Amino acid sequence: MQLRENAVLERSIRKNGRRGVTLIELMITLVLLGIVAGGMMQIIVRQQKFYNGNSSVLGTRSNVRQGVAVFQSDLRAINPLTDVYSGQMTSTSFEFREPRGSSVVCAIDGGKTTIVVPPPALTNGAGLTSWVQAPQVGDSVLFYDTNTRAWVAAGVEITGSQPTQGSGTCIGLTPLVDAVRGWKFTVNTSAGPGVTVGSPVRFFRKARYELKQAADNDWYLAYRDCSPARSPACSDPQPIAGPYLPPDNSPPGLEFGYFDAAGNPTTDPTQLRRIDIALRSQGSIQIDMDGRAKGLYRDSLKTSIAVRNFQ
Amino acid sequence: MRSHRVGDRRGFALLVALAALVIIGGLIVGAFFASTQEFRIGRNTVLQSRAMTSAEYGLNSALRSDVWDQSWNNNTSAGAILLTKDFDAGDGSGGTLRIVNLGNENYLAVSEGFSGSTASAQGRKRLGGFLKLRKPKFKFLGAVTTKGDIKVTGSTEIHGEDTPPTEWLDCPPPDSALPGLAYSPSTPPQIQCSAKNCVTGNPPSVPLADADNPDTYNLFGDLKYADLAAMADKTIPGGKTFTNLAPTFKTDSLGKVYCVRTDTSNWGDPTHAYPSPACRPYFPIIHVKGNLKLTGGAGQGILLVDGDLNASGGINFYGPVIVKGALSVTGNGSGARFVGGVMAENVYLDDNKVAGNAVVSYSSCAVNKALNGSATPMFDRSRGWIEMY
Repeated sequence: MQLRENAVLERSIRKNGRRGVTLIELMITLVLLGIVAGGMMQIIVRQQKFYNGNSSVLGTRSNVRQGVAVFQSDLRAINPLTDVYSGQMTSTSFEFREPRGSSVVCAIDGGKTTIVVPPPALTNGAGLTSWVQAPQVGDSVLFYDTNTRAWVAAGVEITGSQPTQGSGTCIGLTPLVDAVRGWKFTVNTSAGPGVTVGSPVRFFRKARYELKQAADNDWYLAYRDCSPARSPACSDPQPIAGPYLPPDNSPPGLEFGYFDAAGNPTTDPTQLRRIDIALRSQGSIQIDMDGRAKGLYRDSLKTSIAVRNFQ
Repeated sequence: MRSHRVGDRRGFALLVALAALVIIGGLIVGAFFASTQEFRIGRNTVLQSRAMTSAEYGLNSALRSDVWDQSWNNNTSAGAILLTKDFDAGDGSGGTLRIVNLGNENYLAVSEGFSGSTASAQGRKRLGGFLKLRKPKFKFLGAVTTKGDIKVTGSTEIHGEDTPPTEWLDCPPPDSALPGLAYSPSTPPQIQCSAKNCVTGNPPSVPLADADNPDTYNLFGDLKYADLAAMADKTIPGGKTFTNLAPTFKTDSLGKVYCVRTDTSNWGDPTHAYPSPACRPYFPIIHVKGNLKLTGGAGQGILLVDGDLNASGGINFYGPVIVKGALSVTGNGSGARFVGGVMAENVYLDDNKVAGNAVVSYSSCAVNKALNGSATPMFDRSRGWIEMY
């Protein structure tokens, strides 16, 4: 009888192809699953923290790098004797006459007020003209006087209609095919008798760098330029890099240092030969990464810019 | 039965392993991405910095004597590209330097620096430099200016009228005439020449206080005599005699003729007496540390003599001549010809004499060409450096 029951049970198992699990097996399985799942969750959480922390580190570093890159190209070419505005050389802001472009006179009228400069790209690759942005009405202009071998003093501005390519024709200096692509502009004061075809030209605009608080309450490196042809003359400061630490932080998010030729700090623009700029940024989230202190990530970058033109 | 049991098991190890692989893979990719980003940013910063320094290197190399060709100094073709030269900065970066003539003795150097060898990682920076010529300014008070005695005898002629050298066809119109002789008020000249109008000019001779001023003989614009001597292309010990000065040439394998500037007795080709024009734009500064004797031949440039200069044998010299001691020209019908201007500062006031068949004539063209030809380029310090985009 017993043998018969066993045989029936075995047939039943074979028929269904299934075996049951015991409570112990189930518990062991659950414990193992819990351990594995817990480990996985820990890895996922740490990975998420790593990702967030890494993003914060990269973003913060990127902020300071961007700011430094902006300053380097803008400040190297200034001439502190004439390009720094009085009282505007502070530790947290810098107002200056920003070099916007350079060119060479390729045609000029008798009154020395209508000037043509070559286009930026010449077929012979001479590279006579280069600018960040094409000259605008209101930009100030400096001319090199070939008689006095000096630059004509400031006070000359582009006036009249907006210069465009092809508005003037070069007489000399450029290959013939490029001559008709000249940029013509008018200035409000005669450039002077010594300004002739071949005289170098520089274009400028008043500009300022400072920290500015944006609508998100963070502080950004802000750029503002001015042109007498606009109303109001000066634009609202536009954030161009950041966020950085606030200006009242110690140390502040943006800090300028001014030095003379001997490396001593100076407040006199005429003695200025080197500008040190420190940018300090802070991430917006708490980082929790192996090998780094817990908290907000901070980074800073300091650069020294030697001004190239100073006589 | 055993195989049947194994095949029937429903495990989760594979699933777990796959999930773990995905997560670990994600972690690795995340870390790799982050480090790649950092690497790229760092590499780009290095490449940009290298391109910048390379461009600066190229720009500054425009001033080097082996790059700047002094024949450009007298080039009047505005807009001409004088040089296109690739350079190697030595750290794997390099670039191209272009020099454009702007006219009026002004030049624009454009240096484009490159770094990085792969297409995906390269730095580029373009810088410009406005160059002008650094040259002395001579204040000739007359064709001959002296603070000492001057004695003019024989068939000597001194002309203050601006007379371009007859061999030079590209001189501008003459300037107004200078005095033939400008001398110190305290030492009037002894003019005993045979010709009636041997000294001409506006006026032929004049006493000037400036002729007594030591600065007239020592200060040339922002350069001193010592500065000029330091800029000399040829420094010659005192006591030297040159006989029949003449240019020397070298022909390369392609038949191109060069002027051998290293030859001490090659002072250019002022009279255009040779078929090759290679030495015509060569205007050396010649500094003699003592006495000098010239007998025959021709030369051009700026001649600085610390001691006495004795010229004879039909020597021709075109350009300014500054003699600290005595200028003495002698010869029986074959003295010397100086075209340009002569200044002699003589502490021994009675040592100056111009005698024999000598001709000294003022030429602004000869002076300017010599000044230009021997000038060196310099960056305009106030606005010369420009960043180009």
